[in-house]
Amino acid sequence: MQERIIRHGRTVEEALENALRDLEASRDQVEVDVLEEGASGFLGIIGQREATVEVRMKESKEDFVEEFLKTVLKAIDSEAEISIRSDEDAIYVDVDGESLGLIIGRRGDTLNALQYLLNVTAGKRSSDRRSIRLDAGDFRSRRRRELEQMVLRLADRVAKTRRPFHLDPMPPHERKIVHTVLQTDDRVRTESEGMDPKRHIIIHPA
Amino acid sequence: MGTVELVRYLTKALVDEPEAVEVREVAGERSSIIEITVAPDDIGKVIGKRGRIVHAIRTVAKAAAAREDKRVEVEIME
Repeated sequence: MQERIIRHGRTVEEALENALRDLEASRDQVEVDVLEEGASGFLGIIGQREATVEVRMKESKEDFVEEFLKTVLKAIDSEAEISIRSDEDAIYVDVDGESLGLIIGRRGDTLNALQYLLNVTAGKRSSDRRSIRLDAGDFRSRRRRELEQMVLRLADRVAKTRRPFHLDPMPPHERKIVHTVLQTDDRVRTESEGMDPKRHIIIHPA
Repeated sequence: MGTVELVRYLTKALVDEPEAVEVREVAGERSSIIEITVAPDDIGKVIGKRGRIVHAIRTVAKAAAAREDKRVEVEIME
């Protein structure tokens, strides 16, 4: 429900201050329509008019995220539920449901696609630049451990065979994990090749 | 909400002219094609750089179709 109020003041400035105080909001959380500019009048007596503004709360990025995911997830898993928390850097969403496997997809394909669409559509609507991070249960941390173990094994193999190894394409946040894990391994070096969504890492012998 | 409605919702959320969005399903027995039509200026917004957005729409649509034990293809009409 969008709350909208009308407030008056001697100037537009003052009318807006009154509205913000009553909404308990800051200037960047609201949209303002000036209904009446206000005039101080001749000698402050004749033709004096109050300024009038209509002020309503902007939809927050969190509100949009909730509405978007509730609608979209219903099509994949009718039991899906979400919880949202946010700080000044990002909005974190956790999905829980009966068919988490479908929501996550193969190696997180579906979860990553949802996260991407959510960031594009929310970014279009809001000047709020915080990114949205989507997770389902402990999927992200589990996937990180899996990736770490996998690339350590592959680094051993590359060091032994002295032949480069091409990994499957991965989204940017997963490539970052791989680069970071192998950064301190002197036996190999890593390189990304190709364009998203086919961009992938090659592990080279050092 | 079915897969077609899902694709329609996603498309409308991505474009500048949601009223110009048309999404229809050409149904086959086990597999169907979902065709998306948008305003000419919005085509880039549903395809995305190197097809990244339409790729994401396809991935999500396939998950929804899998729930109904169906297969779908998603095509942008130009």
